[in-house]
Amino acid sequence: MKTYLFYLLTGLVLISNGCTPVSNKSITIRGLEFNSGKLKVVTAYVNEKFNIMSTLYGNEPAVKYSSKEKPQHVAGEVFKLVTFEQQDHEFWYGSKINGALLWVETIHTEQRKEGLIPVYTIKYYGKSKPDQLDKNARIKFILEQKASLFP
Amino acid sequence: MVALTNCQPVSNPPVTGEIQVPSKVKQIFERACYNCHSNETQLQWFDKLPIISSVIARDIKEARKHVNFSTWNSLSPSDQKGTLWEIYTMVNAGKMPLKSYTVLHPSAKVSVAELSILKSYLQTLKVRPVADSSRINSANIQYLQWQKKRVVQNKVPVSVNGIKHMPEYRNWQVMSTTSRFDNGTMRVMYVNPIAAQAIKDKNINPWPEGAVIVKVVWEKLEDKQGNIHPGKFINIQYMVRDKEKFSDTEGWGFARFETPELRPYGTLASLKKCIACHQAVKPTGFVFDLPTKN
Repeated sequence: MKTYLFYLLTGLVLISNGCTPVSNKSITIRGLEFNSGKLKVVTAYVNEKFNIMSTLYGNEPAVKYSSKEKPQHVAGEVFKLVTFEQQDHEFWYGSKINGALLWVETIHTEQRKEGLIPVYTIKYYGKSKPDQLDKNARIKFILEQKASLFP
Repeated sequence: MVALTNCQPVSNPPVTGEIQVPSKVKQIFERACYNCHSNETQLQWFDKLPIISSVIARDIKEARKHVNFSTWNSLSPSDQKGTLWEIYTMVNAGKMPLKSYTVLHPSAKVSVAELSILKSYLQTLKVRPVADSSRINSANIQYLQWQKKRVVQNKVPVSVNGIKHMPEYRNWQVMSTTSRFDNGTMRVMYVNPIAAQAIKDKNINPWPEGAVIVKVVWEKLEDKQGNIHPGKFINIQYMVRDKEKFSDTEGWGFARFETPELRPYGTLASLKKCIACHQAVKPTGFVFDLPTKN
């Protein structure tokens, strides 16, 4: 009798449990907040102190420069350093992941009378803005980045 | 009645190398996990009843294959660490212990306080990125060697399950970037146009046929300014959506190519195991690395 009663109760509990959602937490997935168009990833970096994650993109001449295939800059290089907030990874505790898009820094190399000039612009997307950035330091930093191995 | 209690026994093989963790953590594992994930299974009277006993025997066999705390030392140190983070992820996602198990064994449930104990323990296992000159050098050498060989590379590597390396991924959109503190790696994730459209349309459960997700993995190196950069390339991983071909792994095929030579990793059986961990993210169509809004 004990056994049959046990089967009956277990069956009822399993049926009712099957109707209960595993988690009630609602999840909202971010869209792809930056469209790279025809640019390719050159490298990426993380800064824990500022809690940011950045991805550097470039067009073909920019990738060639960063990978040292071409040791000199040429006119028409396009670099875009895309910076996101870093946040906890909702699904894997041992990881951080990019959050909201914060700003995009762009460098175009242009041939002018005075020589080859890197033209720097920045566009903000997020609520927070960084402290006043030193334009020349940012150009130096971006152009110094070495391409990573993408097989 | 005699027939009903004639159970299928679950044997307990010898404990050959038990997990060594702080006692507070071990107590949680012993109570919540050991009955299925160790060689010290203790069955209740009702576990030995027909039907239930065969289900339990099957579950224990599977559970021990995936994680066995009694043979923990047979795992490499990095696999031991990786498995601990995986355990946390599965418990935190409510995937473990199995709901069907806790219905009959409510004492196996893991409380919020216990999850916090596991979390604190994992914090002690965090991997800090380092950038000593030897690591920087070896990453540089690897890059230069790859650059030279790339010119003559003309064969596309193929995984044992038929998934090919797709060099065109470099023209795809980036889905996310991650920085792992459990194993000291960083990653860039790409999505092919089908997968990118699925994210845009919020159509990821299930993901459409032909969706591909690519993950490029490097060791992390930290410079003097505190910027963490990709160091040595480790591997490139694929998730390919083909409901028919990969029907026994929720419609996803998994592949991995290691080192810059892109050596295909694993066997048909080991690649199928990937889905076990991805079960923790069923609500996102079994994909982990999607950024979320807080």
